[in-house]
Amino acid sequence: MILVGHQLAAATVAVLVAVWLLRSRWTHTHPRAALILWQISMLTLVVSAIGALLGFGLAPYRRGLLPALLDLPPVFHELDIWHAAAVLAGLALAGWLVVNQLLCLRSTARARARHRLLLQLVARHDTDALVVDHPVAVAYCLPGRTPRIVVSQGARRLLTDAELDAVLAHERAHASERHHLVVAPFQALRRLLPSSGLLTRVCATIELLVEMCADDKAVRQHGRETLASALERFHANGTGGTPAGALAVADTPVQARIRRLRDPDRFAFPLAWPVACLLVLTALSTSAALFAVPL
Amino acid sequence: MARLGELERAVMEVLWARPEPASVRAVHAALADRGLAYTTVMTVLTRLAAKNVVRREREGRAWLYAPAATREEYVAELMLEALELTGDRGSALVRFAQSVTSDEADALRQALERGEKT
Repeated sequence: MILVGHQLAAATVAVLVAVWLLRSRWTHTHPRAALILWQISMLTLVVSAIGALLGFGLAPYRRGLLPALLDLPPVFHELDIWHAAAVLAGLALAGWLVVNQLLCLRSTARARARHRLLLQLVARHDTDALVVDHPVAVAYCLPGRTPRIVVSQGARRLLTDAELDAVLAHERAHASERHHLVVAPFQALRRLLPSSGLLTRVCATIELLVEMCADDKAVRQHGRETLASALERFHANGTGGTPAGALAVADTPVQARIRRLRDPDRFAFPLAWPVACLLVLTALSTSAALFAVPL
Repeated sequence: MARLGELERAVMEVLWARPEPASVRAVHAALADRGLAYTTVMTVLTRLAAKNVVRREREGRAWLYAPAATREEYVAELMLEALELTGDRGSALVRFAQSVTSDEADALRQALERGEKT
């Protein structure tokens, strides 16, 4: 049972850090540090949840989880119903998570391939981006081995040259820092539990932090005000009618980004960050080690 | 690869410009100034058909090719995805910001639905 205790403690640490991240305000000042902590907390939570189930189920063998699992098939009938159920639940959870991630990877890869093909057929090559001839304003990055930066004719008309450059720098930051890889696991997790308000909130937080990272990079070359006014034009342009459900929610993060660029809260880098990092990493390594090492 | 992409685009331009389905020979003739081999044009058309952006039908012994949708419908499809209006497909892209009024969103959806009915 000490095994399960360790796993539960690791999960608790991860949850506490996630709660801290959701409630803290420094995260908008230091989005990159927050993202790193989010990633390791989420990984810890997943590993320890699986570890706790397996740890409980395999407790009678007093060995590392993986060796016990490998030797399990011939002696499975010796487990009582509770332990057997825990083992099966742990394996099912692990399999479910992995399969879901793979399915999500496949469906986004397909959507991206189709999108890339259509861009090739209808978009115009400009010096620094692909231009789609449509009056509605959009600017985005299509990730991939050779990422595509796309703006619509509407966005080009909406923005001044300087603002457009800032927006393109923002998209290039997404592309070069592979932000889609940061967001993907969280989105896959949300797809597993689409009705979970908490996961939706976590996903929105991650997406916002990623945008802020890209904003920061664009700002270094093009200045805060340029990017802020570009965002403001986008924002003002979209509020002409009643936005559809998804877009109404997307309104607030844009405002948060504009506020952050114009009037930054200068939170000092939190001293608790390295402590939290160390705690979660310890939890993660303990949790992972129990898969291999007997206790 | 870039050249192949450019060819696909040129072939689509030819097909979009025609009111009727075209044979490989007709497309090849329309692109005569590029000096392409007949088989190259055939390969590109076969690829486009495999990717479902071109439809083909047999007439006698020749295949006839037509665009599966108009250019405007493809633009609408791109825009709907870019604006995250297509359900869970949205995660394929990372955007700067979206801004769309409900009228514009409706117009885009209608553009795509018109295409699906025909």
